[in-house]
Amino acid sequence: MTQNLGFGLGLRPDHYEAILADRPPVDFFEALTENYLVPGGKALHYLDRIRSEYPLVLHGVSLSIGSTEPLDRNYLMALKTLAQRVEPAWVSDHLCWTGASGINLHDLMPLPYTREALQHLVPRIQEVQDFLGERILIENVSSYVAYQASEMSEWEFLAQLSREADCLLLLDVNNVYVNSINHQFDPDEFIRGIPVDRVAQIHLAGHERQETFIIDTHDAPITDSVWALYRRTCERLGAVSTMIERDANIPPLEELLAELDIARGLTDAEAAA
Amino acid sequence: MQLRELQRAFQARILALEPGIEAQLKDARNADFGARLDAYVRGYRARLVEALGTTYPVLKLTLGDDEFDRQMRRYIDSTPSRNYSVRHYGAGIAEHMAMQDTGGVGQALSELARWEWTLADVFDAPDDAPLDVATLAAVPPEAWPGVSFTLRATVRRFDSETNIVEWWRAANGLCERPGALAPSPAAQWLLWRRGVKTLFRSLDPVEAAAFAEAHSGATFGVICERLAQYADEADVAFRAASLLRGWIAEELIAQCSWQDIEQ
Repeated sequence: MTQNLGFGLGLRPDHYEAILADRPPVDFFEALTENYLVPGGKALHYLDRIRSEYPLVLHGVSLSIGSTEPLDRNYLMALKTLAQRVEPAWVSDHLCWTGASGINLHDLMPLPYTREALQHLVPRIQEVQDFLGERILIENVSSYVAYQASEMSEWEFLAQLSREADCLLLLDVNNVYVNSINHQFDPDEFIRGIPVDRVAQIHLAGHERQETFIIDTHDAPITDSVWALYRRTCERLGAVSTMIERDANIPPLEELLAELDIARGLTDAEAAA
Repeated sequence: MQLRELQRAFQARILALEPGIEAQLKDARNADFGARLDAYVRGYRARLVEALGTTYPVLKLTLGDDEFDRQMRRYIDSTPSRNYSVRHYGAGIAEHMAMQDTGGVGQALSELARWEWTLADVFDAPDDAPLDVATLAAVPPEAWPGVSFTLRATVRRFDSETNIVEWWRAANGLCERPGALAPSPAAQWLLWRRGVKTLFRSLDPVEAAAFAEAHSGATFGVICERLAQYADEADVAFRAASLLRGWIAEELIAQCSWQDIEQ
């Protein structure tokens, strides 16, 4: 098991100064890896300063673990160098592919849940873990389409993947909810299907409801449905490091701290029960 | 279809709107299937337009949201991203703008894009320590003609032939806005970072010539020879020393080196 870091927030440039000035009651920050894969300047300056005050985890979007392209050695080397610099509690990325034929779509593209995909992913995750010298966390992504070829459910796929690759999971509760609407499954069945001992972190975020499906926008407060699913997730998983991921329409820090207090309250209530 | 073909087909649908992936996806006959697929197809372009707007805020302001969107989508459709970081996407915008029919201001818009790309480049260039003035004090007098300089990694030079720097400054509330983007006398600029703050200033022709020599690794002696083209011989050493002091005070120089001279 990894350590429980408590309740964290995504580290966003809008909040750099407020964090350093006010030292808000946040247990850890999650930094977007790619924002800091730069030679120098402001982003790394603030990352170092905030790291000296808070625990940190790194969360990437470009590992492209599911791509059929070879792993990007330059990216891995840059990631490892950054990890050596800031010594994160862990490194995470997404269960997705981000491009083919040398092109990067800068999107978290969904994978089919097939044996072939598992056989492709397992050695790649192991290769990354061997390179970094530690287990990584793989996050479930939101998706708007599903493949005919899928042979199992998303949660069955994640469970098998984490066991076979010996990796950990970053469970995005918002993404579970989004996919449960988009692909019409019971989100609680998803939560029940995830191996408890593999989940090292939870993400919470907001989304945008379309007429018949949901887009995972990370630009709004967490919805009541996601809070309710989070509470039921805590019932099953117990205390797990939890963070709120806001990527657009970034509000003042106080607003996110208030949301974080809701998460604390829900888990406190769960612990008391 | 195997994973590799599946990914290539999906990518071809996003980049070139080529049909094919639909047959591999569930619920393709549902009424909302197009909107779901669009979350990827339109999302790809929207994300890159947004990233380019972050790199080129004044170009966006100048063109207006709609025209910026149109121009960037043209660029996106001709230039897929090949870097893991979206920060590096957009290196070709200056060239792209130069080729567009933009009502006679193509050169200025291209120059503006090149300016904003240079600012971005300075913003996250490597951190290195500025030269300590005490290091210079250690240079033996007879070694001075052979002293050469390494500039800080953030230092960039920029040549303009339009009023885009004034335009950019106005867009950031630093001066009155010129009436229009227009050609202007050739000017040379110096951009660099001090700590995390990006700075720039103009260079007069004499300093520009001397700085170009320093930038290329020329020795202090060669810099003086270059200055002799502009100043009286008696003033050259004073002018060169004065420029050097200024460059050090502005933290433009990282290192100096010289060869020991046998006595």
